[in-house]
This record gives sequence, C-alpha cells and structure tokens, in this order.
Amino acid sequence: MRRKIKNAARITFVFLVFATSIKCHNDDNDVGQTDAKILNSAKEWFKSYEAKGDNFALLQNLDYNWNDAEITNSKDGTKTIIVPVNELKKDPAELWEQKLYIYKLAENNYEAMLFEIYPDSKNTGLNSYSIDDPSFNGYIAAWDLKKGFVKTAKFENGKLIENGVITLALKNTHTTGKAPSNQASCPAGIECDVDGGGTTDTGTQLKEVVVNNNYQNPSGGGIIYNGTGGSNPNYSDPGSYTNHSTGTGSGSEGGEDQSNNVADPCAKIKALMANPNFIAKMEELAKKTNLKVETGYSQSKNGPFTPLIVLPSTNGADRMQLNITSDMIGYIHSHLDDYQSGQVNPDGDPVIRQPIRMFSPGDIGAFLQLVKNAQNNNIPIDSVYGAMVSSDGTYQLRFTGNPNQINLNFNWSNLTKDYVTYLEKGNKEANFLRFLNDKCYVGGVELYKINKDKTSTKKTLDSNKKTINSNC
Amino acid sequence: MKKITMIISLIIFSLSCKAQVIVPLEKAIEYRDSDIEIPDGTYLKDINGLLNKYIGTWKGAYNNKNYTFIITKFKKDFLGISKDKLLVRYLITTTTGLILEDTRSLPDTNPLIIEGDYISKSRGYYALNYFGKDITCGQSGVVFISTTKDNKQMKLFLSPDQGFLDSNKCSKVADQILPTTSMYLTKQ
Repeated sequence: MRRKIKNAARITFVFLVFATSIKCHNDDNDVGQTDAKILNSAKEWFKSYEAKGDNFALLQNLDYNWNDAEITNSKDGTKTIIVPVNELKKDPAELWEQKLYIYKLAENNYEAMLFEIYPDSKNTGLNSYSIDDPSFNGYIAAWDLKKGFVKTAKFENGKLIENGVITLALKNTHTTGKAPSNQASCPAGIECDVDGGGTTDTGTQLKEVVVNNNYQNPSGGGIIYNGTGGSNPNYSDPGSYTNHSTGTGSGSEGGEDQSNNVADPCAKIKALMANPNFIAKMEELAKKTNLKVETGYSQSKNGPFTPLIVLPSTNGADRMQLNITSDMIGYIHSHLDDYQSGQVNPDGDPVIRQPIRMFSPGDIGAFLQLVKNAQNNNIPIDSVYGAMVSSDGTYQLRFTGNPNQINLNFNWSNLTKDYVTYLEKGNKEANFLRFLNDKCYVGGVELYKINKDKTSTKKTLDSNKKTINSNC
Repeated sequence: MKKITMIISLIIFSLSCKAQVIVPLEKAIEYRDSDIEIPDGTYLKDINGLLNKYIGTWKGAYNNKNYTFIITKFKKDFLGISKDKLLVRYLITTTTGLILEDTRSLPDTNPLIIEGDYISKSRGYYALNYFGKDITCGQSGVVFISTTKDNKQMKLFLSPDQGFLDSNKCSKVADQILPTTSMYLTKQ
C-alpha cells in the first residue's frame, strides 16, 4: 500500500513538473506574442500619426529601424517602445544618435518623443557613449515630431547638471560655407558663424544639420546648445530624462478627446476684433504712430486695458515694459512712422529715423512671456496675443506651439543683429517670417495681419520663402 | 567629338550660373521704403564711391569722453544678396585715459562692431546699426554719420532704439556710451 502511495506521489510530482514546464513555455510564448502585438500596434499608430499633417522639418522622413525596436518600462513604469533611427549623417563617424520613444499610455493610446543623444569628448569607455551607461557625458535633446524642440540638458557622469535650449542655425541656401565640426565651442565674442548669415551664433554646436527635404533649407546648418541653468530633481539622470512624465510628447489618441483643445487663432482674432474696447485702443494707437515714442496697453482676461509701463531714459528714447500679472492675456503697442531725429547733417538737412514697422525680437520675447504666463495660470493659450499698430499695417502674434518649450531666460535682444540683417533683405512680412523660421527656438509663433475691414489674414511662407496669405 | 562635349559643358555651366545683378548701393533705401524684396543674386555695390569719404580714423571729444572711430568698407554676403557696407570699430576713453570701451581688435562679425545699413535718400548721411554690451537693457540704436563738404570732419550721433525691455532682466534703461546728440570728429 505504502509503495502504491509512493508511486502515485512520484507520478504526481513528475506530472506537476511537466505541467509547470509546459505552462512556463506557454507563458514565454505569451510574452513574445504580447511584445510583438505591442510593437505592431505602436508601429501602426506611429505610421498613422506621422502621416497626419506636417512634421517638423528636421524630423521629416526619418529612417526608423523597427527591426531593432525594444520594449521596456520607463523608470516611472510606462511601457515604452524604443525605436533606433538610421541617422542621416554627413560623416558616419559622428557619435550622436536618434531614438524614437513611443509611450504606451493605455490601449491604443500612445505618445511619441524623438530623443537625440550627443555624447561628448569626456566619454572614454566605449559604453559611456550610451545614455544607459551610469557615467554618460554629453547632451540629450527631446523633440516633438510635429512641433519641434521640447527640452534639452547637459549631463556629466550620468547626472543632469544644467538645462538648456536648442537653437537651429540653418544656413541660407546661398551660403556655401561649411558648418563647424561637431561640438565646436562658440562662446560670445568669438567668431563662429554657424548659419553663414554673417553674424555670430553663440553656443555649443552639437551637430551639423542635414535637412533631407527642401522645406526649411536644403543646405542644412547646425544645432546649437545654450545652457540656461537649473535642474530638476525628478529627472536627474538620462534614464529618468527620457521618462514619459518628464516631457511632453504628442500624438495621444484614444483617452481624452483633445479636439476641443486645438488652437484656433482666427476665431480668437475675430472675437477680439469684435471687442469695442480693443478697437478703441487700436484706433487710438493708430493716431499715435506720428509721435517719437512708442506707447501701448496690456489687457487682462476680464477685459480691462492698462497702459504699458514706461521706463524713462535720459535721451528721450523711453522704453516699455510688461509688468506681467497672472490674468494678463495680451498687449497692443505702436511702432512709429519715420520721424525727425532732432539732429541735422553739416548741410543743415534733418536726419530722419526710419523705424522698422514689424514686430521686433523684444516684441516676440514679451509675447512668449505672456504665453508662458497663460499656461501657468490656466488661461487658454490661444487667447494670448501680441499686437502692433503702425502706418504700414496692424499685426498680431499668436501661438499654436508647445508652451513647455518657452524659455523665459532666452535673451531675445541678442537676436536683434540677426533680425536687422533679415529685414535688410526687403519685404518685412516675408523676412520676419524667415527670421522666425531660422532663428526662433520655439515653433508655433504665427503672424496675422489685421485688414482695414477688421478681418485678418494669416501670413506663412511657401517652399520658396514667399509669403502665403490665408484669410481667416 | 571632344569639341562638342566641351561646348555642351560650357552651355550647361553658363545656364547653371545665376548672373549677379549689380545695383548702386544708394538704391538700398528705395527697397526699404517700398518694402520690396531685394532679388536673390543682387549686389548692392558702392559703384559711385559714396562710402569712401567715411573710410579712415576719426577722433573727437564729447561730454568728457574721447572717441576714436575706425571706419572700413567691406562686402557682406547674406540671404542670397551682397552689399557693400561700412564697419565702425571704436575706442572710448575718459579724459584721463581710462578705457570705457574698445572694439578695435574684434572680428567683423562681432555684434559690437557697428555695421552699415543704408545711405539716406538725400545721400546726405549714412545709417548704421549699433548694438552695445548692454543691448538687453537698451544699448542699441541707429548711428548716423555725415561729413562736411571738405570731408575733414564727420558728424555722428546715436538714435537709440525703442520698444520692450525684458522686465525680468532690466529695472531701468541703460546709459548710452555713444553720443545721443551730434558730435564732430576730425579725420586723422
């Protein structure tokens, strides 16, 4: 009897071992099948997302290597598909690399972010060029496929030491000079003209840009990093920097219906132009373009207008400031007609100052401050405006980009020399838009002209860099 | 056969080369005033030598400061066009010789170098763009220069820029180091 029990126990044990091994094998198959399913689903979603609308010019038609894609979990636990990119490099020896991160937020709900990794010369070991290495040295930049630059930071020994901002210095089509080699340092005051525009581009060049379509600029240029300081304890290393929650990817589908969040500047301009108080300010400023000092107002979201702060100068060239309040949504100000400077040449002829009647870099900076302020105070971004009244036309700036990309430390006045060079080319609208395209680090700043009948026209550039008018 | 190949090559080469159109420099102000785009391939050239009278070293004193301006001419290529311009480097000292600003050894592309823009419609003066070290808080504007008939003296002043200053960076407007009313300088 005892023997029978022993045999039965042996058979049961063997059966259990066999059954367990079969189950484990099946589980392995399940994992493999699940991974393949996730990968296919993510790939299908991404293809559709990429095909929808325009992509940021530098990220157009990248060669994604789906065969080597891997599925992992971000440090925050989000299922993440990492797809390497077969980078378009001028020199195959360049060390930088691109990786597409697709975050699976829920079933059929994904977001994508393109990371660029630029190891620097401090890396000595072969593995330390990878962001997975705990001693990684270099820079990481995150890009939104549709909107462009999102964030960047510098890392030393695997730790984030400084946040920064990326500037695209794109060469003009007629410039033949070659951009400096990888990571040539371009400190202020030293000649370093990455974009070939004839002016110095300040910062550290991370890589030469190769643009594989003709939209932005066929001859490329450089990506330049400028540190802005600061850090964030929530993403202090490369692993957490590529987490879903630390950046703002785009393309989320499923989940929350985001169609209601789409910015509609035309509708907002129309609403503003129906506001009699705004029209009154616009008409008042139109009568003040013949003065010798610019004037203007800011507007709060509840409607009231407040005169802009005037900083007096000792020479009559007073300046204006936005004293930003949490409820401020816009500004309107004048740009002046040609005026007599009060000085004469040796022949006694008056010297005439001829101001540029288009938004200046300082105007763009003030506008972006308001956009960021709106984001911080839960004011709809598309209600924010910057307006300029002049005898050559009244214009508004609107923002349809990603406010997370706005860097309040960016010094817009340093772009003034570039700005006047662009405006020297002639047509103000076209060259202002070219300046925005080539020099503005954040995408989504849009230009609208307010017509005499109070309708508006959106101004964009075509592939030949000529102005396209789209009536609202 | 060789000749035919050479002729075809020359035709292809000449078709691929865009001809440069030379326009007198003094026409630049007309493009600006009429808001017309300067066509790619245009060279705004000082064919009438209107800038030559400014070239050289000029010295003068104003408001307890000594000024030396060194003016050179160069051709700038940008955004598909070329343009003759003046570049102005400067040394500013106190009457006791203390250096307040010295841009004499800086390269052409340095923002501190004053760079020419246009000759006035009357041809009576020349406008240049100036950006100082404290551009963030208002050290920028247009420098106007003109000469006496004998070209021995030059009149110069800065018309400062207007517009927004960043409230996060400036609590007041920076003092100008260039004269904001006319000063006379003597050619050396």
